[in-house]
Amino acid sequence: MRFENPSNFIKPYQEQEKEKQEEIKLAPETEKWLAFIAENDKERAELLRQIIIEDIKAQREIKKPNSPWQEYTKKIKEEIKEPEVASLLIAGTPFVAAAGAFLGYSLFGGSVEAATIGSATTVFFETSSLWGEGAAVAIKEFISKLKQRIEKRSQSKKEPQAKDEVK
Amino acid sequence: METLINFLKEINLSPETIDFYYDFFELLPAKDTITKQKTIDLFITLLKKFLEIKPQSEVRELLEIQARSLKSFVLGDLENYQKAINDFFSFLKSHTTSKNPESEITK
Repeated sequence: MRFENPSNFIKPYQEQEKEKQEEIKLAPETEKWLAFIAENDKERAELLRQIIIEDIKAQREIKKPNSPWQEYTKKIKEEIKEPEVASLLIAGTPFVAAAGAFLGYSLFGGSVEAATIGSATTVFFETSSLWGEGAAVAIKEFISKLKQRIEKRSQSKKEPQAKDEVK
Repeated sequence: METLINFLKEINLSPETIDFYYDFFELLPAKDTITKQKTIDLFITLLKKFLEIKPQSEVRELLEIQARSLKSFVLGDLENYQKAINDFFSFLKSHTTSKNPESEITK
């Protein structure tokens, strides 16, 4: 009778444990923001939490050295001479990270350091202290205003449609 | 802002996506107006660099996916956010040559 090598079981277990250890802990500022939203809308706060966690996980995946994103952007990175552009590109994935990079850059004065702060946009969600209270308030206001604007645009598109349906 | 909008029109983004980027950069908080302009210019420069190396259709697709994911985040729309992320990984799969399973995203 042949027995399976025990390391075949141990390895996946160790990997699972490692994954658990890498569990995402959100920054205190993010937790405060989510708690504030939850006061009026618990469901939205929970959905936002899930989106943020998924976003961080996806960013971690694409930042791995052999990820398809690294391959896709390799040539661009090699040719970019401007450090600000390079910093933004590193963060400039189609995720919330991209928004964070631009926020960091615009809030902190448009320098390479600022872009780097932005490029660590996970900072906003995961560790926070670099952003400071003032920036955190500005970001919350920005997200809230952008939400209103998107809803308004979507509403004004629906209204003419509704009128057409009445006709 | 006008330069940005014209540029986005040139690469044939959908009107909804152009509206989104307009709103995004118009409302973006900044240290001052000069910094804000610098941020917008940087966005355009980044896209131009992309266009030197990648076809317009790919850059457009990436921008559309990015706008959808950011919009979903702002609205707290988990379902559409996940859809956008999946589209992004599918995009990468079809535009990279690496078939090494270790480098594949297993989401």
